[in-house]
Amino acid sequence: MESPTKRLKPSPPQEASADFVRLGGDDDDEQDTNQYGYTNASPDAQQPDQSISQAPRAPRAMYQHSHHPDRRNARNDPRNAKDRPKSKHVLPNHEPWILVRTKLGRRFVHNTSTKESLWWIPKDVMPGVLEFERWEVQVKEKEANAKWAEEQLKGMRGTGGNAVEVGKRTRDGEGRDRRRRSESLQREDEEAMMAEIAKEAEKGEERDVKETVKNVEGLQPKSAQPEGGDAGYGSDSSYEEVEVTDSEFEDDEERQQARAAAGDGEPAHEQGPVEFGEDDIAYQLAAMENYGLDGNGNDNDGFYSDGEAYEEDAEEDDAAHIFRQMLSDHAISPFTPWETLIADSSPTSIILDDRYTILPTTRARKEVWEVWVKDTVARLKEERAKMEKQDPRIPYLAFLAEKASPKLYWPEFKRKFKKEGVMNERALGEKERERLYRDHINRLKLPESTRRADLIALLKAVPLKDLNKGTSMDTLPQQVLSHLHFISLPPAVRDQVISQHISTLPPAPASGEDAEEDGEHEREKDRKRAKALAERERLVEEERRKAEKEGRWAKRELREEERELERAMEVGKRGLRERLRAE
Amino acid sequence: MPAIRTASKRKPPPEGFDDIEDTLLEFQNKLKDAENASHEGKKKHEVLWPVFQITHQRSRYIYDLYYEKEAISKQLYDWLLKNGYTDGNLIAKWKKQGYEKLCCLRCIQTKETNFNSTCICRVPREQLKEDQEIQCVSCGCRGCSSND
Repeated sequence: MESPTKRLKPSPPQEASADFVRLGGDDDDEQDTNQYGYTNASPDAQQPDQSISQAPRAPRAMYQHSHHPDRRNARNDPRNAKDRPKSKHVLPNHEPWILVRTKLGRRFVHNTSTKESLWWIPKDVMPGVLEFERWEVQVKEKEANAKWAEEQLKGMRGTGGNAVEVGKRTRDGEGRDRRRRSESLQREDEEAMMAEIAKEAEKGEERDVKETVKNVEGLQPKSAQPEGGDAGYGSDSSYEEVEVTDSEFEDDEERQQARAAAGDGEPAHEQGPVEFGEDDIAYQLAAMENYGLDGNGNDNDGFYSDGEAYEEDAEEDDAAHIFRQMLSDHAISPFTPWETLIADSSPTSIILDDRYTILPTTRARKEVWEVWVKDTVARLKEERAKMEKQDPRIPYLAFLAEKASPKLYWPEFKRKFKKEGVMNERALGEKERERLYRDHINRLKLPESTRRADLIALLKAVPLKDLNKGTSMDTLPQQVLSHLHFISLPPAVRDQVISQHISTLPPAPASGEDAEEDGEHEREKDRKRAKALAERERLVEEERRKAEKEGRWAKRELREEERELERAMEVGKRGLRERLRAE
Repeated sequence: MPAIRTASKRKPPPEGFDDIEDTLLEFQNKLKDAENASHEGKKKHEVLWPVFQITHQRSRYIYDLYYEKEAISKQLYDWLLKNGYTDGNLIAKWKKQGYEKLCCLRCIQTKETNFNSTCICRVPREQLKEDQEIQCVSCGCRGCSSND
């Protein structure tokens, strides 16, 4: 692709912005296309069209001087089929709107959010378009000036042959576009023309003659020739006014002139600018998306201009965002493999979504998808962590309450309902299911009064925080729902019992219930601790008393022994016999 | 005699298995189809290609979920490995530089080839001839070099 510096921007529109906006397409290299690329782009034709082509009907020029006669009829114009969106430009400060240029140099605005496309630029978007084009013109002007200077030099070398004719053409054109172009620019244009013509003259005289003859014949290419001078479909140097409304009186006026000039020979010329309906716009957008779809559009199709590259970068984030939004909208599971997603051929598949092509390549899409999956999974995890886990027994018990009957043994019951989802729930083991079933069946055989008492006992065991006056039958705590006693009674009786119990309960504790409960816990603990301490003290005291008692006993025994010893020592003079007698 | 593990005795899979169960079932069905597909008109080695491809896809799916997207837990990943949903050896190769896209383990088994070389699918595309279409014998891979 060409670098922007090589591009030439002939004659930027200065006054053209008042009632319409001219289309400044990207120019090919002037030397190539203007002079040798297309035979119709004669040097003679170029000058007048420089002065005239501001008219808002440049598209006609495309087919007027086309080599393909079948394209001349504007109504069933294959141009529509040939035309392709070529570049898009973000309009600063008019965010959802983008300016799209087509291969043929036409231009329309497209709203990326509402997906509407308009040939006729709305009033509120117009300033953005104008501003954008002014900026574009400024950029190109600088390059063009340098180029012109160069060409002028070249022209100096061999001005000659066509000078007279050039002068004539210029005079013709001037009348029509005087109001639109500044003098200086015009002069510049003329100089450029002269330079080119001179060059052409150098190249080949016979060709020059041919072109001249053609012009004389009254085809009047000048009246409609786009400014760049090349009429081919591949060219993009043509300025074009694409507001194709009939209200454009200027347009009509120009058309009249063209008609007068064209004569009867070519009635097709008078068709005027092609009217584009909604179908065409849709077609354009579809085409644009097709270009995005082919994967490497930027590289090989050459329809994207250089200037677009950086804008693409700016849009990439938006595109990625839109793509992610599409993924979210389709409610795609983040655990689906990418291959499955893009192989999906159902009508709800993402590849049928318009937003799928907002990213140009499958690789880019996959990258965005990967990031999306990562984010979505992370969010999903968080949500699941926050969500209260439901006891797997609750749905199973609800199922039992409905289906279980004492007439069925467990294997029979299992076989009968093996297709049910609850019967295959992994969270609840097979054994647990069987146990619950058997218990439930056994409980059904108990008298109702017992079952009722059990249920009331269960309800009483639930803390006030979970079950209180404010609790409705739909918001019963899991503790109740997952208990076998809850389903033992027939639903009608059960509901009655529960509502009766709830009505006797006090209202829910205040918001500080948790703190209160914690305090309660603490107090309970303190009490327990004090109790334990007292117990320990009592034990210690007992121990001490016991030890004391033992000590006393030991002392008494000692004393006793001492006394005995003393007595034994007290042997009098009367001798042992006396003593024995005494005892 | 080993213990018979019936459905009632089996431990439930770790958390998160429900999310990927459908996809894994799909892979399982595809594999069944590939196994039962007719061999008519196919070369001998060609019959096995789909099996290799599907197991590769399935392993890649789980590998991506665990290592790239961090969408499944370690427990689930280990459980999947243990239960044969993925090829642990293949994943071990994917973690090594230069083997990020390896199609199958057979293709890097140099001892099985005549000249002790790897499979043709391991050759980078730029080293192949212009417009050379290859499809390897062992698994039908069309090229799994890391820089392709």
